[in-house]
Amino acid sequence: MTDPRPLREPTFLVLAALGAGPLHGYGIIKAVEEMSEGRVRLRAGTLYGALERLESQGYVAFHGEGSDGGPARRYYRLTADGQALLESEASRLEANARVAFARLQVEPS
Amino acid sequence: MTAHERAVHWVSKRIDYPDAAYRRDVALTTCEVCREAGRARRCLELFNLAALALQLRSRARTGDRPDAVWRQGVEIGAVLLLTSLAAQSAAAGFASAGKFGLAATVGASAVCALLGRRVAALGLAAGAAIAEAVWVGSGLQTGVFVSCCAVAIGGLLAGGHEAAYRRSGMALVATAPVLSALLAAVAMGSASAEAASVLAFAWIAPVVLLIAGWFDPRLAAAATTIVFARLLASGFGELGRALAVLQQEGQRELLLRWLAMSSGVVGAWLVTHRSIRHTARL
Repeated sequence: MTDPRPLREPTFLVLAALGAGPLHGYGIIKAVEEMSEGRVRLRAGTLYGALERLESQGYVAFHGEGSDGGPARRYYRLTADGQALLESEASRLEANARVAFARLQVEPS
Repeated sequence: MTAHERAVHWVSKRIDYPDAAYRRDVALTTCEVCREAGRARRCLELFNLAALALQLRSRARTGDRPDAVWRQGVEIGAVLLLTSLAAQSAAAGFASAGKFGLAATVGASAVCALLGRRVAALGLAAGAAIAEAVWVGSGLQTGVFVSCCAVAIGGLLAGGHEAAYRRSGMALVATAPVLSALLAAVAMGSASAEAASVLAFAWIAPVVLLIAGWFDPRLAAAATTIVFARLLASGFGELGRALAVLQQEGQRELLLRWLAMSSGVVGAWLVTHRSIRHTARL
C-alpha cells in the first residue's frame, strides 16, 4: 500500500535527480547538491537507505553496472511508478506554494 | 587505504543486503564523499553508514512488520537480561558457590536462547529463578533476580520463531560479560564487580540500545524490555515506600526515582514506535 504521507525531502530530491536519467550513488549526491544549490548534502547512508526503500517499493530500479575508468558502479533509474510519484509530489508542493504566495500577495521569485 | 576507509569497508560488509555489489557500491560512494571532507563530516558519514546497516538489518529480519519487531526485540531484551543476571551472579559468585551455580545456569540459558534452543533456555531460566528463590538468595536481591527471570521467560515465550540474532558467534559473545564480571570480582572484589555489572546492564546498555534503536527498532524494544524488568523488579516496591516516606517526612528522592524508571519505560516504548514508523517511510 502506498504511504499517504508526503515524501521526505531527501527522497524527493533523489527521485528528482533520477528524473534526468540513470545515475550512480555519487552522481545522485552531486546532482542533489547542485539542484539544491548546496543546501542539501546527502550522506551516503541516507542516500542508500532511501534508494533501498524506493527500490523495494518499485519506484526506482537497478539499471546496470557501468564504469568511467574507475571501479564498476551501480546505476539506478526511475520506473514509471517512480515518475508518477515524483509528478504527484511536485504537483502537491506546487499547489501548496501557490496558495502560500497568493496568501502573501507576492509573486514567486 | 586510510583507517577511515578501512572502517567504511568494515561497516559496509555488515550491511544485510543480498547483493554484494550493493555493499561494495555503498563503500565506494562513502569513500568518494569523504575524500575531500573534514574529520567531522567523515565521522558523520561513518555513523550514518552504521545507521544504514542497522536499518537494513532490521528490515531484512522483520520485513518492517511491527509485530515481528516487538517479538524479536523482547527476545533480544530477554537474552540481555539473562546475560546481565549471569554477570551479576558471577560477580557475587566469587564469594558464594550457590551464586556461581546460578551464574552458570542463567548464562547457559542465554547461550541456548541465542542458539535457538528455546525450550532449554526457558527451562534453565525457570530453574535458576526457583533455585534463587528457594535455596540461594535472600532479601531484596532475590526479588530482583526472580522478577528479571520472569520478564526474560516472558520475552523468550513472546519471541518469534524467526531468527533475531541466532548465531554461534553471538552465543560466544554472550559469555564475555560473564567472564569479565568474574575477572572483575577477582581483581576488585565482589561488591565492586556487582555494582559495575549493574551499572553496565541496567543503565549503560539501555541507553546504548535506545540510541541504536533509533535506527533498528528491535533494539529500542529490547531496551523497553530491560527497563520494564528493572521497574518490575524494584520500582513497584519503591513506589510504595516512596509514597509512605512522602507522607511521613516529605522526602521525594524515591518517588522521583520511580518516576524516572516509569518514564524510561514509556520513553523506550515511544522510541520503538517512532523507529518502526520512520524506517518504513519513504
